[in-house]
Amino acid sequence: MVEASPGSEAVRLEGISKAFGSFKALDNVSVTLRYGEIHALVGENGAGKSTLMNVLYGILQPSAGRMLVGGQDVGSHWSTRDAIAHQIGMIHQHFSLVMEHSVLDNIVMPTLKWTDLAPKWGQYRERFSELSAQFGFELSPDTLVGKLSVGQRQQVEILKMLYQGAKILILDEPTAVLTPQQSDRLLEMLLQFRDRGYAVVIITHKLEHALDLADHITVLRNGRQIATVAKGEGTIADIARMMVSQEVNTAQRRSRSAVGEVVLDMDNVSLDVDGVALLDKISLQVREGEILGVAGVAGNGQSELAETIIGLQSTTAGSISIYGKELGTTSVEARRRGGIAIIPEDRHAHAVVGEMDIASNFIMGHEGEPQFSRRGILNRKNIAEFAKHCIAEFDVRTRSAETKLEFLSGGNQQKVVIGRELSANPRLIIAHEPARGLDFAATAYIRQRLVQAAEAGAGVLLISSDLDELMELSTRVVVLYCGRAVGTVDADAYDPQHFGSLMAGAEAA
Amino acid sequence: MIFDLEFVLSALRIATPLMIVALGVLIAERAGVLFLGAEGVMLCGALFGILGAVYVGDPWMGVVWGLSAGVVMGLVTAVLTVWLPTDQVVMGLAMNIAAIGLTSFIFRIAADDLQQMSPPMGWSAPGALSENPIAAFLFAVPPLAWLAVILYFVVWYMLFRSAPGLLLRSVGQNVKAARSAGINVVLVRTVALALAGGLAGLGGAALTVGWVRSFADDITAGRGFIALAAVYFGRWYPRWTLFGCLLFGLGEALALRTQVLGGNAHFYLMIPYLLTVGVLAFAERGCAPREVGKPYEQL
Amino acid sequence: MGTFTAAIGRHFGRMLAAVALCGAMIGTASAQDKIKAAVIFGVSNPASVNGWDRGHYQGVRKLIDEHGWDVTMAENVPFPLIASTAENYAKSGFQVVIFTSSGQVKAWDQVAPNYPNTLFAMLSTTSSLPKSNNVAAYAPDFYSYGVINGLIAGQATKSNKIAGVAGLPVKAVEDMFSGIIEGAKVVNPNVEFLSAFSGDWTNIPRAREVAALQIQRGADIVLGNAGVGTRGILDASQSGKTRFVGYATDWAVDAPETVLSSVILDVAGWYDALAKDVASGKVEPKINEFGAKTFSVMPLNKEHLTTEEITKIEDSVRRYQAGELSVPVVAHRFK
Repeated sequence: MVEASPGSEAVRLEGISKAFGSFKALDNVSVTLRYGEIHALVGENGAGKSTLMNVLYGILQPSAGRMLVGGQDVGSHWSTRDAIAHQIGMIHQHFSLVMEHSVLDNIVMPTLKWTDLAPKWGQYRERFSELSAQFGFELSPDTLVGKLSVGQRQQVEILKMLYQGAKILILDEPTAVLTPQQSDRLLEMLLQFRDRGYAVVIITHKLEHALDLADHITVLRNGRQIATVAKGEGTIADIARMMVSQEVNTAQRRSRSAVGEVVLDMDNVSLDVDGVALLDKISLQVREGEILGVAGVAGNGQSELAETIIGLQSTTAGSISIYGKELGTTSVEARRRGGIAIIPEDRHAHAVVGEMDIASNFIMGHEGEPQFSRRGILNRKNIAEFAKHCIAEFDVRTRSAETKLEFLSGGNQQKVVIGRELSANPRLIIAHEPARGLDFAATAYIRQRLVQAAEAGAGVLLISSDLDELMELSTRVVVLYCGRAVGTVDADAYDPQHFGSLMAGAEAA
Repeated sequence: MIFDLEFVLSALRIATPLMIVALGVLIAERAGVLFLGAEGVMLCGALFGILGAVYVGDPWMGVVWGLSAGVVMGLVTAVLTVWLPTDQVVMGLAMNIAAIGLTSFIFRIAADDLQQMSPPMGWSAPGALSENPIAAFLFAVPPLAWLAVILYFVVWYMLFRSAPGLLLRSVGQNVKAARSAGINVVLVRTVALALAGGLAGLGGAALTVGWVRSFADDITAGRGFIALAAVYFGRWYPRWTLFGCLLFGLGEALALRTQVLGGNAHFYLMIPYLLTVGVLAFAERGCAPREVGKPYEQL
Repeated sequence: MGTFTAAIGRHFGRMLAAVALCGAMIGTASAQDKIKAAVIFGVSNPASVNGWDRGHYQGVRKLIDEHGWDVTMAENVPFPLIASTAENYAKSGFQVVIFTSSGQVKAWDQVAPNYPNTLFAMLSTTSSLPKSNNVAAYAPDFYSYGVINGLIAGQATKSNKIAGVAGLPVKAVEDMFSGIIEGAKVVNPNVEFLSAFSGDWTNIPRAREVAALQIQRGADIVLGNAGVGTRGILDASQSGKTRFVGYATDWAVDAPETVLSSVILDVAGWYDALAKDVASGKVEPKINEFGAKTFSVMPLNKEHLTTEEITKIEDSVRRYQAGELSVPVVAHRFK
C-alpha cells in the first residue's frame, strides 16, 4: 500500500461499464479519488451511482474498463475481500449490519479469519475503545445493534470501516435515514475524515450536501457520466439541470389558503407504554384544504401519532375524532373506510407486498369493494382496468401492471402507495416521510400530489424530518418533542433556527 | 419406582440421538439454512450405522459409517438448497421422503445380513468401581450420550467464542452483511451443511447402533422433527436446545413408565408431545436466524 | 463389505428372477401349472423380523422351493388397506390369498365371501371363520404355546418374576400370556408375571424401554412378542443381564449369552399343510389348530442352568406335550 499523502491518487476508475443483460447500468465512467478529498456522486435513482461503487468494492464485476488502486491495476479478479485488504470500506444505503449481534461483533467480524479459533477479544475491545475515543463515538461495545437508533447504527458502520483500516471510505446515501441534526453531525465527521487524509466518496441526492462538502462532484445520469465538477465550479441549479433530463416541477410554497371544516380533531391524546409517555397530551386539528406539518427529530412520537390515528395503537387517554365523530376503538379497516388514508414511513413493512404485482398492490385493502370483487371472487378485468388507470394517473414507470412491485424503483413503489391511498378519495391523509429516499423528480411529483389533494378538500397531516419539505408544503407546522407538541409555527413565521431550537426541546416547558 | 437412576438412564438413551441431531440442525440454521431434511439424513445415518456395525463387526465403525453417510447427505442438501438453490422447505420434505425409499431399498438388499442385532456398544465399570453405585451409573450412561455432551461444549465454543463461529452466525443472520465482509456465503453454508449432515447421521447411528442395535423401516419415526422442535424451543442456543432434548427424553421416559400405573397406554404416549407443544407455547417468541429458509442467490 | 456386495448380487438375482416370473405369469401356458398365491404382511421386510414374521417368510420359501408355488409378497400393508389389497389379488387371478396376522381377521371376514373362486387362508389365530366355503385357517394353539414358555420361565427364574412384553393385547397375545401364567404356576407357585405393552408392533425403541422397565421391576426372565419391536426387548434383556426366551424362531444367534432358549413355532409346517391340502383338494372351511406337540424347544442354555434344572424343565415340557402334565385353562385379560 502506498502511503496515503493528501492529494495523492487513491483510486482511478477508467472507462467502467456494467451491463445487466441488455440494460447498461454504467457506460464508460471514469472517476479519480484522492486522499484528503471528498468526492460526491450525484444523480437520480437508477443513475448508476451505487453500481459504480459496488464495482469498486468488489460486489459487482465490471463488464469493461479498469481499476487502479494505489496506482496498480487490480485485474479482473477483484473481490470484496481484496477491496477490504486494499483499505476500501463501504457503507450501503441499507446497512450491512447483523441486528442480533453486538456492536463489537459487527465491527470485528469482517477482519476475523476462519482459522482463528481463539480470537483475542480483549485486544479487539481495546482497539474499539481507542477508535471510538479518537472520533468521538459513544457506543457501548456489547449493545445489540438491533437496539440502536438509525444514527447509531450508521456510526457502527463507520467504525466498522475504520476498524478494518479503511482509508478510502464510500458512503451510499448516508443522510437519507438521518434526522437533520444527525445529518449535520455526520457531515462534520466527513470533513474530519478528509482533514485526516482519508479519501471519502459520498453518494447523495441532496445537492446542497454535495456542494457544501465535496471537492469534486461527479454527476451521473442513466449510467453515463455527465460531468465532474470541481468545488466552486457550479451552483445547485447547474447540477440539478445536469441530473435530470426533464424540467423539475417545484411545488410552490403554500400560502394560508382558505380552509374548511375540521377533519381531524385530537384532544389531549396520550399513549403510555410501560410507563413511558410516547404521546403526551397532544391536541391538534387538521382542517379541510390544509396541510399540517409535523416536525421533530425522529423517535419523538411521530410514528405513534400516525399509528394512533389509523388505529394500529390504542390511546391511553384523550379522544380522536373525524368530523366530530369520535373514533374510540374502531378497527383500522373501519377507519380506512371512514376516509383515513395513510402513506406509512416504511412502505416495505406497512404499505406494499413486493412479491405481488402492481395491480394487486393498487387494490390492497379495497379488494372487498364491489368494483373489485363479488362474493369474495376477484374481478380481474376491473382490477386490471383500475390498475391501468392508476398507472397512467400517477405516472408509475412500469412495463405492465403484472410486474412484481419489488422490481420497481423506490420512487415508483411510492407512487403506487400514493395512488392507492389517494384514489379512495380520503378525507384525511396521513403522509409519513412520503418522499424519503426518492429522487428529485419523484419527490417533486409526490409533493405536488399531496398539495393537489389538499386543494381538492382533504386534510393532510404531513409528518417529515425534512424541514424544507415541511416549510414548502405545510400551512402550519407542529413540532413534537418527547411525545409533546412543543410548538406550532404558522407559514409566515417559518425560521429554521426557531424550528431547530423547538425540535431540540429548548423551548419545552 | 418411577423416578430413579434407571429412569434417568432411560431418558438419556431416548435423548441422545435427539441431542446429536439437534446440534446438526442448530449449526445448519445458524448458517441460515432450514434443515428440514434432518429426519431423512438421520434415517440414512441409522441404516448405514447398522450396516457398518454389522459388516465391520465393530459398533464404533458403525458410528463412523453413519457419520459419513450423513456428511454425504448433507452435501447433497447443500447442492440442492445452496448451490442451485431450490426452496428449502420443499427440498427438505423431498429429502425425507427420498430417504425413506432409499433406506428401505438398501435394507432389503442387505436383509439377509441384518437378521441379527449389531454388536452392543458400551463399557462396563472396571472391577474395583463396579460396586460403587455412582461409578456404575456413570458407566451405564451410553457412550454416545457423553459424546453428545462434549459436542455441545465444542459447538457452543465454536459458535459463540471463536472467529469462524461469528462468521458463520453472520451468514445466518444477514447474508448482505456477510457478503460485504467478503465472506463466501455458499462455501460457508456448504461446510455447515456437511457438518450438520454428519451430526444428523451420527444421531441416526446413535439411535440404531448405540441404542436399539437394529434397523427397521422408518425407525426414526419423526425423531428428526422432534430435534428440529428442540432447536426452535432452544431458540437456536446450544444449551437450551440440549435442555429441550433432555426434556423430551424425560417426557417419553415418563410416558413409558406411567403406563405401569394403568389406563390407556396411548394417553401416556402423548405426554412428550403435549410437553413439547406446551413448552413451545410458553417459550419466548422465536428468534430464528433471519436468513433461515431464504434461498441465497449470488449476483 | 464383501458380504454386502454379495448380498446386493443375491438380491438382484432374486429380483431378476421375480421379474422373469412376472413375465412368465402373463399369458404363458407354463405358468398356469403353478399355483399363484399372495401373502399379506403388516410389517416390512419380514425376513429381517426375527420371530413371527420370519417364520412366515420361511413358510413362503417352503411354498416356493418345495411346492413350486408362484408367490407374491405384499409388505408393510397398513390395517386400513388390508381388505382392498386382498381384493386386488383375488381380482387379478390369484388362487390363494394368505393372511399372516390375527389383526387381518376382519379383512378376511369381509373379502372372502365376495370371491368364491379364491382360497383365503388365515395363517394365524382366529376364533371364527368367515361365512364362506373358500376359507381355511392354520394356526397354533397359543395357549399351549404360552404354557410351554411358562414351564421354562417358571422353573428358570431366580427372582420369581417373569415379564412378558408384547405390542398390543390381541387375542393371540392374551392366549399366550394366559398360558404363561398358568404354566408357570404349575411348576412354581410363587411366580409373578409382569405384562406390558409397547403400543404397536414396529417401534423398537419403545419396546426396548418398556422391557427395561419390567427388568427394573425385578423380572429376570423376559418373553417378547412385539413384532419388529421384539429386538428391542432382547436388547433390553441383554443390557439388563437377564434371560430371554425366544419367540417363534431361534434367537440364540442374536445374543447367545442372553437367550435361555427359544420355543419354535413350526410356521413353515402350517404352510406345508396348506400346500398339501391344496394339492390334494382337501381344503375345508375349518380351523386347523397346531397344538403343543408341534412346538419345539431349542436346547437350554448351559451357562445359566445346571444339568439337573435342564433335565427338570425338559421333562416337564415333554410331559405336557404328551398330555401327562395337566395345566388348567384360564383366560386372563390384559389391558
